[in-house]
Amino acid sequence: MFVNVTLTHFLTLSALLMVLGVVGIVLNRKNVIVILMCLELMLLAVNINFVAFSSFMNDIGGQIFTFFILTVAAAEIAIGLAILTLFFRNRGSVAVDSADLMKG
Amino acid sequence: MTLETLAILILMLPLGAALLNGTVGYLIKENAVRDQLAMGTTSVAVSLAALASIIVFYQIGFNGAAPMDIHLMGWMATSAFDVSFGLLVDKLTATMLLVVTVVSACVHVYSIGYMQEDKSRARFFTYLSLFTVAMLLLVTAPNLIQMFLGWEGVGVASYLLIGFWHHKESANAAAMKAFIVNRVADAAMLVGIFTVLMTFGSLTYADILPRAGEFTDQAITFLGMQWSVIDLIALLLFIGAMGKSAQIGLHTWLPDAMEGPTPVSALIHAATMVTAGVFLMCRMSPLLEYADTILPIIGWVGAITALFAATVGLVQKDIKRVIAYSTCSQLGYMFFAIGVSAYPAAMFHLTTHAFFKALLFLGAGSVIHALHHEQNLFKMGGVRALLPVTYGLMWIGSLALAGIPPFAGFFSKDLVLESAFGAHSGTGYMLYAFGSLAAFMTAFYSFRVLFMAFHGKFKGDASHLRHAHEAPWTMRAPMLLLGVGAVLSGLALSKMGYLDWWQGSLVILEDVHHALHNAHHTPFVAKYFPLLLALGGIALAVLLYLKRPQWPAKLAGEVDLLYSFFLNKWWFDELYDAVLVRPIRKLGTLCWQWGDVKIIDGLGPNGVAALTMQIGQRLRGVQTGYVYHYAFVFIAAIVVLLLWKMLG
Repeated sequence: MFVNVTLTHFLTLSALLMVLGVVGIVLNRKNVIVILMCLELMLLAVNINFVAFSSFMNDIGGQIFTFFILTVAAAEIAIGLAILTLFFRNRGSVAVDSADLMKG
Repeated sequence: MTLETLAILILMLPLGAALLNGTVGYLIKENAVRDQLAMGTTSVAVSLAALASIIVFYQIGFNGAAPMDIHLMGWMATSAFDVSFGLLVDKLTATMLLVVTVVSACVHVYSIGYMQEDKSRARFFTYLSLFTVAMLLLVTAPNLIQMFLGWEGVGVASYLLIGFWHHKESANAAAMKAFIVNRVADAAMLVGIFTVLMTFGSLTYADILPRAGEFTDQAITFLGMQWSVIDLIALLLFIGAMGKSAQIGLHTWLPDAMEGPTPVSALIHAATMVTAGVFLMCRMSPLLEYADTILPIIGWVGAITALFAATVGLVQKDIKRVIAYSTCSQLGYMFFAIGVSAYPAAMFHLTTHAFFKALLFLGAGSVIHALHHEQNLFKMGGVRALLPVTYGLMWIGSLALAGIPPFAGFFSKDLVLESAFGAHSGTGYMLYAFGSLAAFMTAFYSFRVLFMAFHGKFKGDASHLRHAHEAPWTMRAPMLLLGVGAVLSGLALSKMGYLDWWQGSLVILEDVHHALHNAHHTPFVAKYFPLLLALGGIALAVLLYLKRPQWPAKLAGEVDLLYSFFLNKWWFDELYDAVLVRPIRKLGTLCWQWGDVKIIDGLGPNGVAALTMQIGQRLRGVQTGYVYHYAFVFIAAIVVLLLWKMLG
């Protein structure tokens, strides 16, 4: 049933996920958690690319790399959530607009 | 010990003392120890130098020893000129050595008493020795550069000593004034030295002076005018000398310099530094002899100074200022002797004047010391019973200054006036007239000081009188020594009045300039006319200040305008203030407010800083602090770059 699925389909999906992630980060004003989720989305998009290319080019390296990325993503989200918890303790909210200490 | 070693010692002893106290002494924490060390070492060193100078002077002056030209070490050797450190000790220098070191030794010892209550005596004595070294460098120099080193050295020492009481604002102002006025003169002097180098290709006296006659026809363009090169050199060096020797126009610093401690006035502003100009002119006498246009100018400047300063001296209220103007006036005498080519007369007067003027200053200092630093003549009076020694010595000093025989001033001042008369020219007779008139005033004002300070009723604060006392022996002894000089130096050194005695260290072209030659054969009337005037001056002082003490005030009221003209020193300070000081200050303020603050600072550091700040202010808006903005910029940038790459 996947006969007609080509590399282009995978790349399109991955690009869509990527754009979704980017738009999510840029337009989102409410919640930092959403930003973390969007980051995950973008990483997934990258993973899909890796796996797709790996499969179509018969190179296992891409799939190995995916595991690295998943590991890093897991670590990253663990740290991200820890920071978020502390941020909530300090500010009493997780709204993106309240994270403006770097304003010049 | 050879005479040469002795001459070197004269220079090295005060130098050693000054260096010791300026370096090692400076590190000593104990005030008392430091002061004792400074007073002891400097006084002993300078006294020994004085003894050595007396020996050198006697050997060279009266015992037929040959002049010495000692090479100490090389200094600047270039292809253009070769200058070395050394000592040139001929009769001219030996005379100056005697004057400088003897007066300096007297002043050192005197200061031990006078400065007894001062907190920074070590500094004072170090400066005094430093001054002595610089002055000795000046007079022993074998070339113009070493002379100039000493010349500036005495300027610095004078600045330091005038401003010695630096907590007094007036002292600081006076110190700066002295320095700045002298800078004006020194600028001309430097140009003069450059002209010498350009003309003669050397700065050593031995190369310059004997060859002066070869350059009489050489012309030079200076400030757009054609000059005889000898005239130009003479004029420029004379302007330099005018500054140091406080001749009219550049004299304004000298009266103000009286802000310094009195021993300083005696040493620097009466006996030694101010005579440096006269010394320089005499040193350059072989060259001046060919400067026929400049000599009369020197004569006139001297004569006008002599008269001007005497008139101002008539009415001053500050005892030290009277004596300062008197110094100015006496220096005028020396210059007009130079103006008629009577260099021996000038040097003779310089020598005797050093003794009696230093004595007068030290005597005035003794009075000031006794009356708790009161300098106003109108607050003195009647202290002769309290200060008998000072009183007696002041009489000697005043008689010598007034030119009464057999005191020193009579011989030298007479010779100066006779030389002017002996020039047998219109200028000469005018100079003689000016000088005689000044002699009358000199006698009057010196006795005015004497009578106002020592006779009559005490007019000051009675509490001062209660503590008034005769000076300690450290002050009396040097005064007595100078008193001996003031009495005897005229008679003992009368040979100085003859050209032969100087053995070529002073040169007069006798077939052209015969003033000095004629001076020794002056008609009886011309010879004793100034003496008569001087006696008249004394008589007038007796009348006005002893017999009719209420008359001077009335007289001052009668000739109101003239009185305030003299009292305000011919309004020289006011004139300079209006014509020079204030415009220059305005220009300075303009350069400061506009040039510096607005243009340089405004466009330079401050402008750049402000611009950077402004740009920064604008740019800070970009830094919103929101992560998503930064992320958006990242991505947008990547997209743009990719598009550019793909399309390009």
